[in-house]
Amino acid sequence: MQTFILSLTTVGLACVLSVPAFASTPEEDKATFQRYFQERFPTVERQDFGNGMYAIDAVARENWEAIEEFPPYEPALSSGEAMWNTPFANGKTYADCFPNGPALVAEYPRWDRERSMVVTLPLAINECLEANGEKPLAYGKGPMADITAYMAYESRGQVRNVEIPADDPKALEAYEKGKEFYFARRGQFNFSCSHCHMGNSGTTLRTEVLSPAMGHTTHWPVYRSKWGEMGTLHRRYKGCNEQVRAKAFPLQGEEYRNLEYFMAFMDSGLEINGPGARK
Amino acid sequence: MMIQERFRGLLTALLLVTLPASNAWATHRSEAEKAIQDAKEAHALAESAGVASPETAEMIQKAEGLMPSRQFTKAQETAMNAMKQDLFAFEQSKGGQVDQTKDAAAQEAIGAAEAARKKAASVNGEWRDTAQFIKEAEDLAKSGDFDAAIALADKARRQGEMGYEQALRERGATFPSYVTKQK
Repeated sequence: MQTFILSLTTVGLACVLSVPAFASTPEEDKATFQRYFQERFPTVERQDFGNGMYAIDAVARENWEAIEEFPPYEPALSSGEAMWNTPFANGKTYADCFPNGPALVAEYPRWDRERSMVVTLPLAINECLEANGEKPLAYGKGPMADITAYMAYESRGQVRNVEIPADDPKALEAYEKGKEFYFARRGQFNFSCSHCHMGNSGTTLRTEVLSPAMGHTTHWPVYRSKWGEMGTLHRRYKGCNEQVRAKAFPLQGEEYRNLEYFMAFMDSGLEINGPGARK
Repeated sequence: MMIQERFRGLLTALLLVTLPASNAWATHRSEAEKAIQDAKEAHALAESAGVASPETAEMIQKAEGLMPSRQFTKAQETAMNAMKQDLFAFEQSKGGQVDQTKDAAAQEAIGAAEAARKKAASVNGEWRDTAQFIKEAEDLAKSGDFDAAIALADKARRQGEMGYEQALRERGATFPSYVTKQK
């Protein structure tokens, strides 16, 4: 009898302990995420998190503000605007695909119920092009960065508001996959995104200050001095993965779209402030 | 103290002179150009015996393509690898002896590495350099350097195994323990 009771107790304990210690809803995750950074950086205004490390490093901010007087993304804005206004070969324009555009960056990423997938703005742009008989654009840089820079600039001030439909379990599944991706260690260096951008945010890695994760999706695409050109968020995902010596995933593939879905949801309530200039 | 300072000064002066003049510094353009030239000659030799491969021709082209961007070390390395492969192929065509046992061991190690890489990739756990290590191991085997090929292939296999274990271990990853849950 005692053995039986002991066995039952052991099984019961095992069941309790096997439940994830951090089971939570997306709303709880968002509250946790944003509260963490607001406590870690108590002097930073909420909207200023969209400025990354320039919100937490005064000297870097001074340099950045000087750069922003003549922003290096200005040529991209001109090119992007020309792209937006130039008809395709069939006479249609981007406005036919995006009637609310170009100021609609805050609407993305969004959940596509019919196809059960996350749709990002670059993906939607390429689907527009292909539907109109045009060649799709490369996702990392070049014309895609230009047109999304223009659309981001027109969308400045819009508030990020990503939805995870409560009545579609696949949307939650995509969110959870993105969340798992964010917190999973990967690569030879065994780092997750959170190692640099949560626990070590604000500390120095070689010559750089690690930016807090809050606000990471609001200012893309960026002109990155290291690249010497414009680049997209998924281009940076690739670079980050390779920096920890993990094999990168395809840009705009399912993994990175789910990751963007999670990160954008974490940024809910922050204003779009792209395009950005970064080191 | 004075002796220490003088010694430090002398050492600094010596290093300032000898380092730029030595191979400890960067690869010079002329070294890379020589390596490419040597590779072309080896390729021509292999072609004369009918054993030149398109792969080594591509490697020489790749080395030449690196020159305008001044990647002399990489260009030299690529050219030397191409040369080694062509010379080995030429030696084989002239009846050179190959250690069949080691060759087989190298192929087995490379096969095991590729299997481990694919297993890691199947769970999205592949690391950045594994495929490159396997490719380099194949090139070493083609150059007849079987011991180095086996060592590199084993390293790649171990990366594949660790990547697989890591991906499985990280399933369900969530907020770190130092983050306080909000409701």
